[in-house]
Amino acid sequence: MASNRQKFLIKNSLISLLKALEGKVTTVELRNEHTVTGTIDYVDGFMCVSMSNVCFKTLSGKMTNFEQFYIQGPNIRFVQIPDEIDMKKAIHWEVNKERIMRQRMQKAISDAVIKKRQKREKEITKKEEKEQKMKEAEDKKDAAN
Amino acid sequence: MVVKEEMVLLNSCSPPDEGIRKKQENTSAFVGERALGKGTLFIAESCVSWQSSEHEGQGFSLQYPGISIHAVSRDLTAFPHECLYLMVEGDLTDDANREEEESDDEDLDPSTEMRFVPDDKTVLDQLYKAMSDCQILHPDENDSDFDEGGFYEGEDGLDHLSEQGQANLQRMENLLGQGDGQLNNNHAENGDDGVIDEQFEDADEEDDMEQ
Repeated sequence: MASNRQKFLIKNSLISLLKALEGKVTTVELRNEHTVTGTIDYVDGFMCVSMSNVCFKTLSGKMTNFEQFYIQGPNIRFVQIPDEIDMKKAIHWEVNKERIMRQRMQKAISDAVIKKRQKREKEITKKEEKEQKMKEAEDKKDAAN
Repeated sequence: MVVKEEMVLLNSCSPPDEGIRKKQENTSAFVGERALGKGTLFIAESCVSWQSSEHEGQGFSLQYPGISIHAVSRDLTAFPHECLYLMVEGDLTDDANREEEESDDEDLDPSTEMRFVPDDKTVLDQLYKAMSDCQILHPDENDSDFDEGGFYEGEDGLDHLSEQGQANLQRMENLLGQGDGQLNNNHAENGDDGVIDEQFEDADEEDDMEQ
């Protein structure tokens, strides 16, 4: 769980965009010109990136595979954003996700309340109709007598 | 870039005595291609330290801000042992041992590869985890991009609340079914004193039955 300071840093920087890459495969380019290609597992508020199943390529072209890989934030020069990411949407979601989730939850609850109320009104109408019918039947009976 | 604390190879140095997250005996250390023999690896909150068991009192210690990368490698084509891999800022090897690829690129920040090979390979993931946990305790203090005034404070500006405050708020919100006072009032008017969540479930169930 990210600390409040980390949450603050994420929401106030483009790290919010990097958060959208969690679970995605991409390439991170380091300041010393090496590249790291693999799955991004987690990005923290200081832009430190945890990756897995990584291919690490040095400037000279030497490649090494790593199961787990942790890069210090200040060491990163570029992160390649896959084309499938809608950057605007991704940032909006990351910055506002708590509010969006809360709104969705509130909508679900208010929908349920409205449904329940409609149902109750329906029941009351049914009951009234029933009573009305019974009354009419009784009236008929009385009239017949 | 700020010059990190000088890191010198094999000095007389004592192991850290507090905040040790992981201590791994029978761990070989390699700096670049050079083997330093067996020793004990300490992953402490303040630093990573390795003490030779062949030369008593000799070892080295690395500061977290200087460790750019740490990783677990099981790729035996690159290195003959499964290992904990570190890339450390600065050139720690002697000139004679300097890797060619690094001397070719003079304008790059020099870096040194280090590998720790524990006899017990099953602990590699634990070592990695301990490193990650400690690394997070040492964020880059030179990063002054953020002036915390005047920025978006997160939704509802709740970020100023203490952890306890946030926890309390969360609990209250859960109790109130995400805390919508308006809904609660409607709820009370209906003379229904069930918890909103229950009513919510209830409503769905009844709807299902109706259909």
